[in-house]
Amino acid sequence: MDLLADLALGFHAALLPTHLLHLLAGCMVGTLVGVLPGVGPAAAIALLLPAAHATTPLAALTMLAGIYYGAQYSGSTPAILLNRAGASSSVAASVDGYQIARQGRAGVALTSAAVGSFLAGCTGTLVLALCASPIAEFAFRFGPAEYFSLVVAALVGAVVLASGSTPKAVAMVLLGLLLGWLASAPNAQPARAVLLPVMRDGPQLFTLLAMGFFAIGPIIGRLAEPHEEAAGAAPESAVAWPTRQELRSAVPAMLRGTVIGSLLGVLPGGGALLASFAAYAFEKSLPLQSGEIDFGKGNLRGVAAPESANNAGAQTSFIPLLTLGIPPNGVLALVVGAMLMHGIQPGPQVMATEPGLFWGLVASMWIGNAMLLAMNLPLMPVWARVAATPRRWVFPAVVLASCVGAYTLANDINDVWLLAASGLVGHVFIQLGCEAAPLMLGVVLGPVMEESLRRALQLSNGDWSIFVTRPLSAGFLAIGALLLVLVALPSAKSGRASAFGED
Amino acid sequence: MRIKSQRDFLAGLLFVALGIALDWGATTLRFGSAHRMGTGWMPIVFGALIAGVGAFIVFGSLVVETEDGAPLAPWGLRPAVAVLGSVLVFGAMVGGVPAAGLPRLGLIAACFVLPLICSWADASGWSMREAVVLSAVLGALAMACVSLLG
Repeated sequence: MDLLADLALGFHAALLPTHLLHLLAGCMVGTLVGVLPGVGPAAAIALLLPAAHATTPLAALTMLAGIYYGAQYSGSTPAILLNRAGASSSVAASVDGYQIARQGRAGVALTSAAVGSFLAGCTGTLVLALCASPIAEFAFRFGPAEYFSLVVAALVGAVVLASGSTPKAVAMVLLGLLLGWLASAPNAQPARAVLLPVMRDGPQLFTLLAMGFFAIGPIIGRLAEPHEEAAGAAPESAVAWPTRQELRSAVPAMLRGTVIGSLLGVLPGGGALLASFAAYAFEKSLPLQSGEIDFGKGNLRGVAAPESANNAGAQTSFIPLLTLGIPPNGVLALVVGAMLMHGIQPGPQVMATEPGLFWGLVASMWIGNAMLLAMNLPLMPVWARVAATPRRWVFPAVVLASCVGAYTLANDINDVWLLAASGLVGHVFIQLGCEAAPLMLGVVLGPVMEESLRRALQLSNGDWSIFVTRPLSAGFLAIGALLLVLVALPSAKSGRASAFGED
Repeated sequence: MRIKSQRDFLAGLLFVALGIALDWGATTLRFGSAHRMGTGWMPIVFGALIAGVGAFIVFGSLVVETEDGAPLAPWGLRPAVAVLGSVLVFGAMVGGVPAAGLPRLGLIAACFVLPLICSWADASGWSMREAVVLSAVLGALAMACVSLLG
């Protein structure tokens, strides 16, 4: 079967020493940012973009992907032990997990989270491997009109699922689209000279924006809020297995979480975050069995389900990225940026022109999940200790890393000035309640969207109705319109309370 | 008319200003037509769209009720100055500031100085000794990484 041949190719590439090393580095960084306060996978990826630029595409993607799904593993550790989520997708696990820890059984919660994460991560990767080819083949038949409408629908979806104000997110997307076009599109050169002469080329601009919006800006914001260091020493956190009865209820919860996560990871605006909250809510809605603890008081299902969902979601969120070239959330927009840096335009053609890249990445995900299980389970006391690091040690490290990264991008001191400006702008955006993730999505999709728009209109000789007369294109636009209508309804407002924060 | 959401009001104003600036700046560029877009098509159209959405946001901030007036997040003057200042000092040290006669002090020195300034950002629990130790550790780490990765 073709799939086996592809996988063989992938494993062959992924098992090369340099790729394994990058994978290990990514998993370690992901685990670190999962436990450290004040830093998340988005910031880590932004900081490592310069390093990703300097190495081969597969090594870069392997590492960055490892950061993303690695953080989903370890984010539950501080959530359970200290009631403080390491990655925002681990908030759901802290509700019941912390209660379990207070009962002196933290090890049980931690172990369930780790095992559930591993099973879900592997399953999610399997889904990715199976679904990718059919979807990419389908997408091959897209013309520019279809592609434009798809991008519009994806952006609308991302905006709709963003927390806070939809109009502001729309404005951020528009701004991002324009910035992305100015930075990268060949026919934008004259406009760029007039409007933004300081602008860097696409990859550099992208990295500087990412660092400013996802690392430096949020750091200033967090430092500005009143804050208490996590109280108390970490309780016992050795590996411990749940009771048989708990296992019997937890394992189905893991499976349900895996399914929910796999499905929701694919949606625009989806990924680990949405998946974990949805899985928790779903699990909670199921009737309690006799003798089971209430949710919120230490039900193991409340840990197993979201922790499985976030890992499955993290894996399947790569599906739209690798098959359609559309990142479903802000963190993966950064990964697209890394691909663009290497001159790889994400889209259905990637699987055909760079099969080693795609299948190597898929293979690395399985290897990475195994690495992470080995890292998280036995070393749990170590990570628990790391989780208690005061943030005033973490923040200067992040700022230093950004500066060094920005400077070494192109050995251009101006990049450091731009980094400062980007951090300031990022800080202002956060204060005004404007999300950075929609903007970054716009930046990576801007050139593609503009080119599709232009070519579609050229094909139709300037006739705008091409977007609605072609059935597939009309369908995508209809989905986008439907999502906009849904978000305007009052009942949707309460459902969107869960955050679309990028880390 | 009362501002019901401070945050949205200012955000909307920002977008309106941005959109207008874009359209104004793009007046010298060729607009073209939908069939053959000129280089000014994107900036002008998107500038108008951004300004339009911004106006919508401003309108909403004056009309839609909020619980608490949606105030701005804390300005964070001390953290902002400390963090951004440390970045600027880093840049000045690495690149030198010819106008002020500051020579290039180099990447290594800059790596040690940045954490010193940056750690001042956290008002709680700051001590000079801790900052110096942190700077030494982070500076050494940074040097190791830079030399390792060439």
